[in-house]
Amino acid sequence: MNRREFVRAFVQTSAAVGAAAGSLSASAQRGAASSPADFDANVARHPSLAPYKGVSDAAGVGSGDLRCESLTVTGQWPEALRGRFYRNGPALFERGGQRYQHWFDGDGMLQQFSFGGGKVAHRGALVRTHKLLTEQKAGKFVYSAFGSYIASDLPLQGPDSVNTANTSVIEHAGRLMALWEGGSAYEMNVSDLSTRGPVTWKAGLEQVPFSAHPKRDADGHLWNIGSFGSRLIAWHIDPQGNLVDAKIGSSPYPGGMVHDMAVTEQFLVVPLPPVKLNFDALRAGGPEQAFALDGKEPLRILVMRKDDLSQRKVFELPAQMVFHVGNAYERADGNVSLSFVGSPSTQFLRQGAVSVMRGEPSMAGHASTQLVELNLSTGRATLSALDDCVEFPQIDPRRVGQAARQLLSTASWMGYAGREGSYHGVQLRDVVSGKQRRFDYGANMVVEEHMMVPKPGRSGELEAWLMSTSFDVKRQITLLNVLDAAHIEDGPVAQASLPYKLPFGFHGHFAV
Amino acid sequence: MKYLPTTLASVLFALFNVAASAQTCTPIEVRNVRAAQGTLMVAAYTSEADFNKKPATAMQIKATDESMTFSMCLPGGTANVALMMFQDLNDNGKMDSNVLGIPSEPWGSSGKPSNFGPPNWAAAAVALPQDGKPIVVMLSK
Repeated sequence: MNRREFVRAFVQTSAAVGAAAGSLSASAQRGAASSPADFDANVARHPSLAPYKGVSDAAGVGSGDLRCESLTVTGQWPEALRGRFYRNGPALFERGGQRYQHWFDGDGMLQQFSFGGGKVAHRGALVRTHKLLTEQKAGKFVYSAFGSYIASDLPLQGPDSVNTANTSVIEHAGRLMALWEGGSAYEMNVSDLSTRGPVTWKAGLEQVPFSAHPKRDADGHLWNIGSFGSRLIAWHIDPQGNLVDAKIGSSPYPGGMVHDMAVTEQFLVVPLPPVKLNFDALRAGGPEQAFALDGKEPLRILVMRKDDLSQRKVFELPAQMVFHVGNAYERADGNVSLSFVGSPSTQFLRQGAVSVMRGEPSMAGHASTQLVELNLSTGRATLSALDDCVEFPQIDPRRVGQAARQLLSTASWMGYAGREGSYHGVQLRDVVSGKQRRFDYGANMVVEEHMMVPKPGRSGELEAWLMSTSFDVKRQITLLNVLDAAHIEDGPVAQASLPYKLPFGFHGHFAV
Repeated sequence: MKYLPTTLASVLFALFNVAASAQTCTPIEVRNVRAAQGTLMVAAYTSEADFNKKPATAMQIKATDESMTFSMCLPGGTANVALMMFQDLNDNGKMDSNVLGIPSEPWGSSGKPSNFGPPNWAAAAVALPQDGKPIVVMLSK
């Protein structure tokens, strides 16, 4: 090879790696570092935080490889409820005496509950990512994570060097994938949750971010985005699991955090909150200093055509933090309706997710349901902020991208002492009438995301079960809950108890 | 592009090196090599002005073991050197990257390549060791 080619390749590579490291390997030195012993001491006073201890990748007590062939079921387990319920979340936080400082840093662990033959079985397994295997061999963390600085002189190969596959999960066309925000999906085996490896949809698309909130439309097509510096990638996977297209467009807010998106018949709808990782602040002060909301910038809502990313409109709303969308759809008048959960600050990202890693309760969350009308002719956005305290919005999976009335969320409203930073209930809101119906699991249950699981052969929006995991603080075990959407206020129709606790997770998926 | 078999290329480079006058040779240790896959492509720069433009020396070495040590000879009087390298796993003569420009093949530099930007002269340049100790380069993982 001639020298000019060599040099050109090098300069391109170096710039690309720099961008990868810059957007992913946020480093945080010093400060109120958490240690395994500090966590253990603190959590003794705060037993609702015990699942933040996490698991180990060694065999024996605390292992992340879990199996229970038959959970103890109370109530009436619905005979017709069959399939697999998955959860994913950060799970391994400690290695070689180190402990991560931020909840989002942990290595991903997949939970699989399977139903059939009158039994509920559970299997849990850590995703054997490149990162996990490298660090397992080294006996210590060797890569800096989202909010934890790890001293290392190891150059990154790219996003998948630090991919923890810890955010969400989907089974699409028989392919089970553990998802992360900034790199490849990791494929797992459905039968035993062993890890197959990162998914490369096509040569040249290695390590291209395939983020954690793909949406499957009513026709079975899967849509997703990825964000890399100034670029946005739009993925389209067909119902058979084949890549149709990976389009690359530009971001109207380069370098900003992009977590979730909605899909309509014609559009991808992407909230872009004014949050960028501040590397200088991370190095100097750690995660609590680093993820500030830039109040001078608006919350942007990007609406772009699926078939041509350059045909787009950017709507602006007052600054808000947004992690999750509920749904979007095109109305008869041509406007787009979008539901999401927004927060006036990044307090959870900066403080809540840090303090729980020290075994200390986080502050009260104040994210709430936001409904917005996007007028595509005038470019105006009209926002209704609802008075609730919620996260993890979900809708009927048969209605993704179409008009849906029922918005399901975890919720808090009772103000239980010591439980300010976690959810104790579930809420179904009718976004047309504004009415909400709820169930309170009580002060001793930490409630996680609920999914809507349609009843076989039914089509009504409330003809669905609601499924979730929750942590029973008194018994220190994880429960699987099944509620009837039509009678949410009655609470679970059945519960299945694990003989152990699981790490808290982020997101789930139901596969039939 | 097609190029000479690696061993022959190395011999030619060695001849060049021998032919040049007043050379300083120093051991280079490369870690995280993907064993028995392709070729290590190495460029050495001896000044900030030439960095990423005009290497003082370039070498191609067959990748054999996870850790490899070899000798590189530089023009006499060289005080500082910055090594840039990648492992051409599929021997296609270039560093492969994805559609976003992220490298698909291992890369590395001497010194302390930053996590937050491309290696520059200040980060990559090291003093030429006088005690026979190797310059160590970690390839990316």
